[in-house]
Amino acid sequence: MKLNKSKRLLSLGMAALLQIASGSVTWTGVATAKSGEVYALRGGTIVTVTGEVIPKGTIVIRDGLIESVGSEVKVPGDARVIDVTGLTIYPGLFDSYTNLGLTPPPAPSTGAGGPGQGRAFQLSPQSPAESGLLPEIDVVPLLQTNTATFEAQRAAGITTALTGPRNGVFQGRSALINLGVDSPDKLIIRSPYSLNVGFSSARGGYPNSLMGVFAFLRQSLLDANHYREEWTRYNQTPRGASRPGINKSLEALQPVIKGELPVIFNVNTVREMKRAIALAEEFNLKYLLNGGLQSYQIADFLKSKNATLLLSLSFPQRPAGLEDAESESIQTLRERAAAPGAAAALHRAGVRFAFTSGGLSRPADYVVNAQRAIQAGLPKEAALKALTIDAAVIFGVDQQLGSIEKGKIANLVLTTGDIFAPATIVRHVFIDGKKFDIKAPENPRGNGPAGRAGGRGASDAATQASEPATGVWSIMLLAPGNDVAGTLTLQQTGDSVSGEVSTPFGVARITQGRLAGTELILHYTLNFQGQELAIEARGRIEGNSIRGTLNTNGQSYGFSGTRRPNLESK
Amino acid sequence: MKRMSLFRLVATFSQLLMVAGLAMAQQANEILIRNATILTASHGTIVDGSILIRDGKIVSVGKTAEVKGSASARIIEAKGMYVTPGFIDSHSHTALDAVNEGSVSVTSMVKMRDVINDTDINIYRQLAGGTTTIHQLHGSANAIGGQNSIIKLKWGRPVEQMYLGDAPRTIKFALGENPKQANFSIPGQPRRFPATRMGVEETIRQAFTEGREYIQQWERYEAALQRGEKPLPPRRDLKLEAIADVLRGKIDIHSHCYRADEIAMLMRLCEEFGVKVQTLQHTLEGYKVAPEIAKHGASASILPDWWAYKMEAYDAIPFNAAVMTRRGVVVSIHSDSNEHARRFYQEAAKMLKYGDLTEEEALRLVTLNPAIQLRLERRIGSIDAGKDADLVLFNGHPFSIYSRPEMTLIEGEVFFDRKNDLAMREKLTAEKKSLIERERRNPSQPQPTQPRSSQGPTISEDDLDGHLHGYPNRTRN
Repeated sequence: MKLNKSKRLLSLGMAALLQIASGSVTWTGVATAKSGEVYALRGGTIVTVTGEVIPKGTIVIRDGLIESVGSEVKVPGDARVIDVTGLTIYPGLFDSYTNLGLTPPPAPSTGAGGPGQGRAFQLSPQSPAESGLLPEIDVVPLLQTNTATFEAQRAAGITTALTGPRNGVFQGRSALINLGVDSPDKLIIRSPYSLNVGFSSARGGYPNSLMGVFAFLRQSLLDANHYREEWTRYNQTPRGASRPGINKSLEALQPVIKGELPVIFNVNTVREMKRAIALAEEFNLKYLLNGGLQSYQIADFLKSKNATLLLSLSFPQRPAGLEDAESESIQTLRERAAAPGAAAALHRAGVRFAFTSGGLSRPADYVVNAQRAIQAGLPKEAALKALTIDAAVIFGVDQQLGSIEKGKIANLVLTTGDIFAPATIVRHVFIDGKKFDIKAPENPRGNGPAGRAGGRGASDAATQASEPATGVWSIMLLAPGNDVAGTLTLQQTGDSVSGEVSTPFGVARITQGRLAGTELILHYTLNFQGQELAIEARGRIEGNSIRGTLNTNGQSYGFSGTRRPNLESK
Repeated sequence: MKRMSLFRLVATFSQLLMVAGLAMAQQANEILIRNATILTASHGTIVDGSILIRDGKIVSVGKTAEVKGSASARIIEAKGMYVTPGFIDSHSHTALDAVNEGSVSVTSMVKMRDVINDTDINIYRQLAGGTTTIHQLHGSANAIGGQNSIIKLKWGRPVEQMYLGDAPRTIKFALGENPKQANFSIPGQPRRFPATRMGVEETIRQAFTEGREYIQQWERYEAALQRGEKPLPPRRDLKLEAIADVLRGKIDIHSHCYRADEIAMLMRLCEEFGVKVQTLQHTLEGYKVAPEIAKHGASASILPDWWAYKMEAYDAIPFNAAVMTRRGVVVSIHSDSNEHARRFYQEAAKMLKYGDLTEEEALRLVTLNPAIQLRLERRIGSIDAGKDADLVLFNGHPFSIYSRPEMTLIEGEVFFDRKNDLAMREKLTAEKKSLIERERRNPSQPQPTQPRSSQGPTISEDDLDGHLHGYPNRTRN
């Protein structure tokens, strides 16, 4: 009897340990009591999103929550009354996929167990700790925020974001956070929300190709199933059985294979989306698709799969340094013309989606581009929902966010008018009931079509300021005794950079690129004499010049270059 | 009352039959290609011949006087034209987003099927050269590469419609300079095992040995299940699963090779494990060991007249195809190139010069023989009743340098028609101009969504101005 009991306790304990380690216990943070500031916002037009618009209403905020909202609300005696007559109040906007608040991606500690090491693959000796193969990486401990971190987002009315690590295949677990100024642990609304997965792996070891990535993902998921089976059996009958080892990566995949933790696939092309869906179906995963630039081509298919999209509003732009307009393919031109219509196509097909900024370098362009989606056929109400309540529903937080309702978190945006109108300015933002006054932007978005979204109409200087990487660069690679000339054709969209690297060794498409401040980081793979060679280029951009190093497997070569003048705009 | 309902039943039934018959007549999608010179690749040339196609299959082929279609058949008048089977490329890297998983020496777990790019413009270009089926191989970086895929070049269709449902599974092996990384070193990376031909042999033997153990591990598990025990299933290992299937004969080996000694080595090694090499790829020195290849039962897929581009390619001769054919080896010519795959008929024609192959033998090098190598000869590769209607219509004899394909059909459907292509160019040029103009005029104004036409091929501007980008020259994979 006693023995039985202790055995049961043991297995219970083990189960709990497993559960905690695997992160299947989702921590849904409740908005903690704030400074106690009580506000009454009076006289504004309240766009509740889920209910009617209240022309002249009042919102009372207490302890970070909306205490009451309506046209006939009694203002409590302890409230600080703010007259917001003439302003329009919206729920805080969501950016449904970001890498906000992250320090440069971490190098995992040496010896971390992962599907890349030990169990899952005994294929070759390789560095045990490769970032991008560890599903146990969690975004929360990586968040390093201060009062300025999310300033630009707040100024654009964005109050809530999903954020996650951004490198490799298993990029790590995301969290939904409020974009306030508290310490990161107080900002979290839901963690973990998802395991984020990418298909590019430009690294030295296995996998270094797209098909390798798929084999790696399959093997990892199979191993996670095997691991579960091993532990289940052991927990049932530990006596006389050898104890399975603990593997952090396979632990971290447990909630994924059980369909508890969704996977977010980073996919833009039709074939990437199809590949992601096929993999998810093969392993019965719960999934979302992030990006979706070409989703309009397969909207009905996505509906038939009941897919959920985190749709990027970072539309492809014409390369600024493009010398010959004819040199672009008709496909590229078609896709660029069609991109703003993706949301409308998904809406018509009935696909569930929320918007993401896709890393737009100017957060202010987020709403501007939502407006372009509206002009391309998306009903305005649907656009607003994709920025608010639809995102909240997708993330399972519609009880506390996404609309202006009693009891919800006081995330609000106060604007000078219709949020989608070009001249509208964000005046105040409330996050967790905390008030932020928005300084007049240096570069207000209402300066006519020319200044919008870094479009081609913007002056060269403006484009360069907002997209310092965009252009065609002539580079010289300083190889020992033999300098090599090449060309970088780069297109910056938000902080991500795409394009091509052309050298005498061939032309390679950039698989992953980004600009952090002035630092450009590009990953690409060169097919060098039958061998896929993973290359990382790091450079610093100063105006029209670039300087840096090409790194491949520990070897570095310097390179420098200049941007070719943009002939077209002259 | 009872009789009444019986009458009704009969009436309804006959009505149903009529409807069904009508539907069948409508579905019976018949095409009759008439008055052509037909190079069947299996049973000679038919002058003034016709081919009847129904529902994508060849129903009959013969003299025009003997082949009759139904009244509703669509007629393709082909007087003065030559018809050949669609060409089959037994070694292609077209329409793939990646070719090599070059990190480790055994990558049997990766699948080309995962990375097919059904929008690759080379599909359309090769279709315009009469190529209808391609064997998409993993690269040659590793002694044992990935699992290959086979598709038909149905341009404009999603990849799911390009697969051949019944195609056998194949895997890439590679011998010699590429897997031993003889011609290059990767800066900063220690040399990978293997670095010699001996090491390549050992790598394959090691993989086979592990695969054999893996089979035994599962057999022990199955046996325990049979005994009523409840054992923990072994860990599924995708790498060894594929090797095990090679050993079981469920996956065919297609091996990149050059030299006679390594060809002999691979056949010997495979015989040691009771496995047959299905097809040797490149096989430049195949002529030196042709009887041995025939005895082993392997076939050879070759580059017809490429040599001396690296050390192991020095001993190649253009008579390779003829010598091996005369020794009883099933030989095919492959492209290994987006460009060569657009003119298989010319590659085959060269073989009339080198070694006096007959016209039909030369044609088989790019039709029936690759079909045999892919074990699809019952379905494709020649113009015979019952086979897929994968056909090319030429404006002259395909072995003349002045001839070109006018039309390419896959499963009875026209996927390339030169007349349509010429007409389409003007339209596409205009569309492109207007897209550029609109962007110029209105940089950030949204454009209405224009879903790509789901019908018919679209073409990239690559074709309009010949501007090729994104395709580095690469060595033979």
